[in-house]
Amino acid sequence: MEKYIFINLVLAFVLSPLIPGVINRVKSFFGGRKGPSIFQLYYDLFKLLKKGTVYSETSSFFLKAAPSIVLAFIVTALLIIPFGGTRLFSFQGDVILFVYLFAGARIVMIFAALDTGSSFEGMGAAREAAFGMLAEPAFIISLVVLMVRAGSLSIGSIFKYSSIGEWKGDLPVLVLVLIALFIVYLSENCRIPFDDPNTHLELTMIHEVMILDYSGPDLAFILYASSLKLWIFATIIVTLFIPMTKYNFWDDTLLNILGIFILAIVTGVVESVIARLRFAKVPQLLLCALSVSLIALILILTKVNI
Amino acid sequence: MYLILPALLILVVSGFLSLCCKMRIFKNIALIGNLVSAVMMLIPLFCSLIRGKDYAFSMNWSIPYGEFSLALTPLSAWFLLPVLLVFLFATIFGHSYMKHHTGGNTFHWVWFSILESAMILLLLADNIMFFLIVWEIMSISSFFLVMSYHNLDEVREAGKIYLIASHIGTFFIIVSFSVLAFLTSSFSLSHSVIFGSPFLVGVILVTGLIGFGMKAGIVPLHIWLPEAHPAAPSHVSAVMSGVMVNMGIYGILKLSILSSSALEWFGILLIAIGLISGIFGIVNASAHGNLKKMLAYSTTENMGIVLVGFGIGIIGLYSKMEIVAVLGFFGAMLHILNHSFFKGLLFLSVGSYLYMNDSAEVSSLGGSAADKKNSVHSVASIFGVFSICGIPPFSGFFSEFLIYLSSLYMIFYGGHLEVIIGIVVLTVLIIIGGIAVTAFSGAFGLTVFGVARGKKPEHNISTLMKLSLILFSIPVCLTLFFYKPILFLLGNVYSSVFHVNAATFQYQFIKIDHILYHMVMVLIVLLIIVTLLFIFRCLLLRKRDVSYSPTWDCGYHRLNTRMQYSSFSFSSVVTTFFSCFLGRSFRVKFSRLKIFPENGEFSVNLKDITYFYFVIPVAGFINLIAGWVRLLQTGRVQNYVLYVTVFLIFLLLWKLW
Repeated sequence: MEKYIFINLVLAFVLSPLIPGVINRVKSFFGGRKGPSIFQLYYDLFKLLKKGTVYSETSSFFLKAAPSIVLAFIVTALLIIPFGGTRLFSFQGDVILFVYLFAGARIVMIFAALDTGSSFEGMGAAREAAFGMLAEPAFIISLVVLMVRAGSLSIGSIFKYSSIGEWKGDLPVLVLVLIALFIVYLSENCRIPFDDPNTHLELTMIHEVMILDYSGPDLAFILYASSLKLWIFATIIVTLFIPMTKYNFWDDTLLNILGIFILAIVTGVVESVIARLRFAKVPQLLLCALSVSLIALILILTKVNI
Repeated sequence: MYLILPALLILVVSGFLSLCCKMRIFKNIALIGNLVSAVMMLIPLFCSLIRGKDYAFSMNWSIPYGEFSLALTPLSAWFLLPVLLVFLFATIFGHSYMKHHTGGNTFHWVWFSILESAMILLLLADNIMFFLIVWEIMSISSFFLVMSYHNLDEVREAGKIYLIASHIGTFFIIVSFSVLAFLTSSFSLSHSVIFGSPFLVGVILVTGLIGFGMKAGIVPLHIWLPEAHPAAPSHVSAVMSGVMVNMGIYGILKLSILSSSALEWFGILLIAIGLISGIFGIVNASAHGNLKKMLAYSTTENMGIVLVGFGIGIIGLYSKMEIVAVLGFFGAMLHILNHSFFKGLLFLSVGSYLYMNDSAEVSSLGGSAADKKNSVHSVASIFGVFSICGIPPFSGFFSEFLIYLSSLYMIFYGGHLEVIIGIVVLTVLIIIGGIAVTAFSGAFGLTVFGVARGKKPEHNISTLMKLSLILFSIPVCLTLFFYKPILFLLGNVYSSVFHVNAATFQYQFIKIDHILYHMVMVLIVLLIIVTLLFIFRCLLLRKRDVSYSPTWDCGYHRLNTRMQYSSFSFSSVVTTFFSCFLGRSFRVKFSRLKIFPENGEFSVNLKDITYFYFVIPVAGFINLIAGWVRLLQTGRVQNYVLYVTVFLIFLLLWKLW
């Protein structure tokens, strides 16, 4: 089984920049354009890794160190989350470490954004902190629902029941968790309706504005970290629904990857079809995700505990 | 054990000798005395903790009902550890800090050493009378320390509020201890279980909670905290916020242990109060732009988390879920230790900012990380913020992880009540954690990073101050990696307090050890990846050109430092969302009717709503009753003679009956 873990990890590292490419391609299709190629992020990453950087005069050592720290946090989170039935590290209660690794990445990005001394980054940092605060409870409660369903205190176990057939009796719980996780996925990865990844207007920026002052390899690290984050969230959503009846490693992996790309296409469609929410409405949507996941938790507990 | 009394004597004497600081021999005496006595006291402390045994010492003295009896249990030793270390590091900091600020305030070290001795004796006290005497000494000496800058109006006001609140708390503690002495017919504090009517035990617990809670700073009894802690000098705030609130928690813990482990309602009460304190504290912390006030409110929040941990532990004991009890208590005790260190670190770093820039407001600070000379204290602030927000791999994450894990166990394996409590605790704790990230990343991020908003600092902090910051950062960073000895010590504390079944406890212990081992493995991998990526980046950039240019400003040339984000705007989402916990009023002066824009003014006034909704109604009620009683006092001697006569007749009739 050991080699399967490493094959999965290598696939995650290699294939994750494809997801933003697919999303952008779908959005261009809706806009009537041909759009950038699916492999555009790979071209961008290689180009950035070959360049030098320009640092802001007001920044300190932290801006230089931040991208490495952020990427390290996200990669460690990838090591905890399983993919296709295999995982590298698991222990009871690792869901808490998982959520707090994302919180750690967020706070490092906030500090680095404030380091530049610009009001744009400060604004993005404030919004990122606030929306992260609201998305975390929904995320952890949804994961706890899945863990209760699987009966174990470690995230690794939630992918045991990863086929639609096995969710027969608990279809309401499945739908509720899907809604909550999808909202959190859109929020944490800075997609519409929470943030517009294509805009550079300060009115609509959260994540994009925090990375304005990075360039060169630093920017490459940050972009790669965002695509890894997309991969992690997509994995969780997709592995829930792919019928893993084959128990053959290559078939499972192929199905999972296919599922992730279908989710990327769905994300692109969602981004093209709805508009960005007013910032005052965002807490309401995130609290909706929290309530939905709490209802799902209560439903699953009445099933399991009694 | 016999090292403790001489160590205390050295401490107090060195404090008094610091009054002679004009003589060259005695200039650094307070520092040296503190160091020597701390080292001397660490020896019996670690003996007790590592072996898990109690040591006792007693002698008689002439105070009625009391005897001078000390008992060094592992529980006291656990609380004593942050006392000694935080005081030591704070003395190192305060030594240079007070030299700059004091101008003749030489009584400071006298009170400081008396405070430390009082706290040590408090943790060792085994007799109710002795405990109360030492409690009073602690309150008075800390009052004098708070009033160090007594020529400022707000400091005098703060000292007054602190003294009143402290004595109200003492009153409730006296009531609680009186009922305790009545029930057990002895004045000793080291029982294992009290048997008595549930009502009386309930009275002991609730009055003890109010009394000790006033010192611990839980809502709604926390009014004095945001006034007194900012008013004191920074190292005194570090000591008060890091260590003195632990005394309140120690009292609550001792009372709840004494009253047998099967009190479910008290556990629920602790959890409820803890969660309310947590949310209230952190929301108020995010709304204040003054760093010291924010840290004071954050103390309220952390004490709330500690109470939640204890409440979960008590409920675990009640419902016989051993793992929940163990995790809850371990998490709470560890959070007490971690809180002392990271709160001390943060207060000392705010003290450094005060020392350099003469202000603790975010709106006058900024940009310290960019300055090479300030790197020690910028990095220390960053570590403190990471720890207080609970980011792995720092110490704050360790204790919060244990408490979260206990709530997860309650959800998975508990009955109806435990499941509900577990869900509520998990949700609210995550929300509190999220608001803490917002608050601290905002305030400290705007202080450490960016561009300086006020004038440049004239003098830098001294080496001793840097040393104390580094000393504080060591436990903050490394606690998680030394989890094995810490778990062992915590296990000793737990088994000495609760007299557990060794076999099942060993099983839980191994389980927790296993979980933490894997977690530390993951975090070591994290650190390795950070290092590798950073090296990779440096290698990539070695042959490329790296240049510097102004921050991207969208083409606007006249950026000034005040255009950076401010702490008010940073926390605006949180504060508008949770505005029911804040008492904010705005004042805007801006005239729109002129042709050319003029200067406007915007001010925010933040008041603590507990003052309006709790203190004033309660005080009004007491005034009302006092008003009725005043009807008896007419001021005329004839009425008083009448009262005396009536009472004598009553006595006569009673005697005859």
